[in-house]
Amino acid sequence: MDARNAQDDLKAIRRIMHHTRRRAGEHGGWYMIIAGFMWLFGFIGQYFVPQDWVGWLWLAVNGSGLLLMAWVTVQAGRSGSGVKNQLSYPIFVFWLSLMIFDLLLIWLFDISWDMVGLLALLTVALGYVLMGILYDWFISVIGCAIAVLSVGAFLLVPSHFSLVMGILGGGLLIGSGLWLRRGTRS
Amino acid sequence: MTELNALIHQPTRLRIMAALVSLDRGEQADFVFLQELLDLTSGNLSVHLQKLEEAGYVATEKTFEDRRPKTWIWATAEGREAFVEHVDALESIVARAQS
Repeated sequence: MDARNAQDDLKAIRRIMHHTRRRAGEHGGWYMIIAGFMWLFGFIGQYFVPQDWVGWLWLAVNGSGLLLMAWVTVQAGRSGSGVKNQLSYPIFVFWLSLMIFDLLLIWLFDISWDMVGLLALLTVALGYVLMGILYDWFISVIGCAIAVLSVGAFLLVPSHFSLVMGILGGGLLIGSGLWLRRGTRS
Repeated sequence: MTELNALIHQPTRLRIMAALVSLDRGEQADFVFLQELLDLTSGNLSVHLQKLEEAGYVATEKTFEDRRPKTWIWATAEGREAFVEHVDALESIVARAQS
């Protein structure tokens, strides 16, 4: 085969892969967008509610976010796009398990609220790193970035930790989700 | 240097494998989705899928949803590996010509 034909084949391959991803949709991106808004509302919301209500705020934000993610999972399974993901439900269970694990840690070790935020963030970072191993290295990179941002903000600007995580962390997740939904992976 | 894969090299089968490999592990495409995406007749797609399935590069599962038959198709691990090797071979040809 000559180089010109090989080049044509490679172009055809890239075109098909791009179109397939576009048609298949990027349900994974929706999870990141939802998580980003959860962080935005949760962390920024802390500045507007009394300290005693912070736990309830996070309960409401996480509960709503989880319901929304469950809805996306169901829609992904029913999607008329012609592509289904056998891993949608196992992945949902994975994230739910991480959340339950964190709740148990918080309860059993009586973790203070200022540490709860960091624990939640590091758990999310871990989840993203593991998801990235399964799906796409980009997701693992996001996980590492979240871990570095979380620890850095906690240690360097503790008084503005929530603001940093809400804006930068939430923004990072929303942006990543939008990038994944563009379907431009090669 | 990896060799071109004679089975995947055929233009229609190359496009089928490109489409299936672009899906994540765990994702499956249905027959009609592939047919429309690749602009093939159902007979043409069936023939090529059968060849790929016989080689172990794709797997299929026939189910019923809302009482309608549906065929789900995905690339196997072996198929993904064979496709990647074929792409590597193509890239080697291009790289040699450019050097």
